[in-house]
Amino acid sequence: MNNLKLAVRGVTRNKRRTLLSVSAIAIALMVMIILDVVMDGANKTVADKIIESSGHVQLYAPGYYDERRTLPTDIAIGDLDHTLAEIRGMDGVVDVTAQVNFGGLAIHDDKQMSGLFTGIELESADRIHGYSDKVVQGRYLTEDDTDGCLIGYRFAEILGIGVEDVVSYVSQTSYGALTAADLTVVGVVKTMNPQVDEAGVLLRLEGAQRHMELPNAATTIIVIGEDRDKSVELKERLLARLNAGVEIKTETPQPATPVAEDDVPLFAEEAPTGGFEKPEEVVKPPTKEGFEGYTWYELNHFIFDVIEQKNGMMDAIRAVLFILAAAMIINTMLTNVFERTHEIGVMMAIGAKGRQILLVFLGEAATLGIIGSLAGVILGTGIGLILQYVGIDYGNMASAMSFPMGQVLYGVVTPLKIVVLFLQGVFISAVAGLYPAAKAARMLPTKALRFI
Amino acid sequence: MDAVLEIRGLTKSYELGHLRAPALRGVDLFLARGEFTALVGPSGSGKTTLLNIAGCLDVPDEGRVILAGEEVQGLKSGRRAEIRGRSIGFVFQTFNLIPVLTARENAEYPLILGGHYKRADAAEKARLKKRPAELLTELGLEEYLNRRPNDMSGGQRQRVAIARALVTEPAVVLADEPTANLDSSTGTEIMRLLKEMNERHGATFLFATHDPLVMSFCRRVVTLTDGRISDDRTQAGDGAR
Repeated sequence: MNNLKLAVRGVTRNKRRTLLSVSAIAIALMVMIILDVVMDGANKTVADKIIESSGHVQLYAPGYYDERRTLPTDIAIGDLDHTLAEIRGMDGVVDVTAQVNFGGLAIHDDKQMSGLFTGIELESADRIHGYSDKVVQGRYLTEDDTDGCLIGYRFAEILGIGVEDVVSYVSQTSYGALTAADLTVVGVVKTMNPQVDEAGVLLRLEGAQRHMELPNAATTIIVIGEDRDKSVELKERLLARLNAGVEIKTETPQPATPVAEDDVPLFAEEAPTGGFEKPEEVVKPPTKEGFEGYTWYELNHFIFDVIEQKNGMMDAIRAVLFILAAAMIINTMLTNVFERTHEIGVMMAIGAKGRQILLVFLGEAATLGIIGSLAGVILGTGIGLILQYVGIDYGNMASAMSFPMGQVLYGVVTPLKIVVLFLQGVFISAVAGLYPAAKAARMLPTKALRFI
Repeated sequence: MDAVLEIRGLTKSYELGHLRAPALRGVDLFLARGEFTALVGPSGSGKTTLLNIAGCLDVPDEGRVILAGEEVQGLKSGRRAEIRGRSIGFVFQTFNLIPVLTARENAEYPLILGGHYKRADAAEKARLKKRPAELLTELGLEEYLNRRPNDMSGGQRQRVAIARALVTEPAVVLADEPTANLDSSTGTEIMRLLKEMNERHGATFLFATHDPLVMSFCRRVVTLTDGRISDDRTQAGDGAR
């Protein structure tokens, strides 16, 4: 029999009061665990969706990143076949795909809207982005679809377009010439990536290269490594390898003699000429050589900034819940101390020192914390596991979100976080018991003994 | 004779609003080892105050208290708690057992609080471990060792309290109205047991009481009147009234 045993038995004295305190801690912990599970699930979903769209590392020609919002096609990676082969041969590289991104005006019947056009390598893009699984109407692109395209489902709705319809686009080639083409929709995709769903048109890389006059070139190379948490290391290795011995060419190819304005065709449809005469021997890209690279995290830092803010809010919610639970413990323990004042006097009379009284009541508060936290962990983990395996289907709300999220949100139960929350629950309960316990320990024995 | 408790020139007063009410006005008292003494007097005469100071629960305004050879006035509260745990046993009017502990655990508790187990070697520890149950058995509670106080009668509870007071083999047991909450036959039984303990274990007892029954068992009766000892006499102390 020791002080701890006395503390444990102490919580059985007034079962209703103990139940209230334990419930407060249990509910607080349960809510915190569920919030963590949901938020971690949301973070994971966002990260998964981002990686599905961005890959682990993206490589560009120098200067592209700063201009990326304008989707420049004149800042492109050249010697693509050789570059891709070199990247594929590197350790830690699981997959690679190249794409040509360009902006244009999509037109169908009397409707027109700005679109994000992406030339993709069919097989590798499907492996990385999983497009073929996201076709909701029609089919995925094949090598035969020279002028075929996939279109985002929201974009298709806006343009009033369906499978086998033709969407025309107007854009500018890498030389600044206007270009236009007709693409036949072979499929509609629902990727849960807002950029693709709401404005995306996917076509074969070769077609995009041809339209943009980027032979054997791409605006973006997407690399998948073995571990997304090692993306920074992968990026550094890629850049070290690809930029090794690169001679930075500052020479910017100048357009040859401008063609007389009257001779410039409005649309350089399928034709490699634009507002400028194309030099005979131009090695793409037309800017300096070399690469710049960004990890998926760097590319989407604005999303993660929002997540960081949300984490701050979570900390605030957690603090409020803990304060409420602690207030309940303080109240219970103060009542316990008050009710047992005479008993405290007796304990002092038979030799208990202030420290021993303090330990008994601290132990009692910690016991409440252990029972409450354990109950909270069991309830929270139980519900968390249901959320992890069954998920939350938020139906139409999904498409209204500007974040890349799926239709069903699956929670993520993180055992370490649960252990930490459990320990926090016990610790905060013990701390909450400190004041009542100190009050008990400071009592004068004669006054305590007189108390009835 | 060995003195277990020596009190010299003890004064104590309490503040009552703006007034100071004297409770003890220069009390001298000497208790020898094995004495069985009643401290009597009307309410407000200072009995409980004297018991509290003698038991290191309170401090005097003036005077000296020497308990088992150690001067206790001026000591810090932690040291006084140590002395209480080692040298003093208390028996209260309302038993004051810890309700969540069994009879055995209640009797053992002072050994834990006073650190007796920590200081003892293996053989002594083994002896101390057995002592609560032995005392309870001696007091007729062998069937009740694992009962909690709420499942026991008043007399049984007071016997547990006696075992608790004696378990540390204290220099002196201070008992404040030990029979006040008991009927006369149980009170008589308790006093007989206490007398037996006194004779068998040589424990020194000081009772603060109004009860003639308690007085009748005591060889010495000290009377306090208005904070002073007004009478100090010896008698047969055989329980006959």
